[in-house]
Amino acid sequence: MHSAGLDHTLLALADPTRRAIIARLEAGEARVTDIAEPFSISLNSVSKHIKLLERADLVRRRKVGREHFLSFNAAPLDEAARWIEEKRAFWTSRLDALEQALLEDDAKRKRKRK
Amino acid sequence: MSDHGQRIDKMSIRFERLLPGPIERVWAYLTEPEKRAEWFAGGVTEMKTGGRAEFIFNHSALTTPDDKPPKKFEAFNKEMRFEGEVLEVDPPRLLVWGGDDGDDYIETRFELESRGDKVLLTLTETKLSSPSRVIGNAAGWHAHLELLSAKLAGEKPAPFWATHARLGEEYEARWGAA
Repeated sequence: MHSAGLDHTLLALADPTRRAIIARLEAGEARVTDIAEPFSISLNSVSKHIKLLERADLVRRRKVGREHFLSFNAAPLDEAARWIEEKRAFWTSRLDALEQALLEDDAKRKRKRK
Repeated sequence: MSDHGQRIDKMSIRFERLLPGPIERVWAYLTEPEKRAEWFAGGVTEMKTGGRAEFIFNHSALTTPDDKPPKKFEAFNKEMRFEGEVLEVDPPRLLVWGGDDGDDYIETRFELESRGDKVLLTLTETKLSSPSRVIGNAAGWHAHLELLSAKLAGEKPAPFWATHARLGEEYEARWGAA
């Protein structure tokens, strides 16, 4: 079982442009206009990405007058990391079991042949 | 005709460029993904009102490897995808795109007009949300238009980021704190 939060996190991260925006926020808080600065396009186009990051709570918005400051929030990554780790651990143990079974089978065959 | 953009009102800018024609060729550079990617951004433009306007930027592909972006743009010096909306289109004369962000309803209008064997391109961007956006977009469009002019004239363009930085200072000097 997992929450809708995980869906939002993975969807938000499943896009190189949004990951670049997260990388930009590693340098510190930025305004929407700072994110848009190198691209001569409407803020709306940039905001679509930011809204998906906000829905996942990976980005938080602070308003000071008309300025909106964005910052990165790492907390949702914990749930995503936990999910990945659980699946990794589960499949690692299954594969270990498979390897063990194959080794035992191999040993049996060798004994029979003797 | 000045190369520098004009500030037609507090939140609007306009550029004019006399480019080598014919008009259909310039239109192709505004609307065909591969051609537009050479000077601005790739991406498909749906040729109808309300259509999708896709922008695939790759600033690193616009320039030489030794022409580095300023530190604040480093994270974005690779493929970045955005989506806007086509507001008006009338090939090969008029293309307007934009989008609403509550505070910011930007409109970017390209008008083309044949002038003998040349084409007059008028680029008007209106309803920018802040003075810093006015300066930033003026520097951005000016730098991109330098690339377009060079491409159409078959000349080698100046390095994009160096040009962008110089223009940013020039527009700041003209319009900053105004």
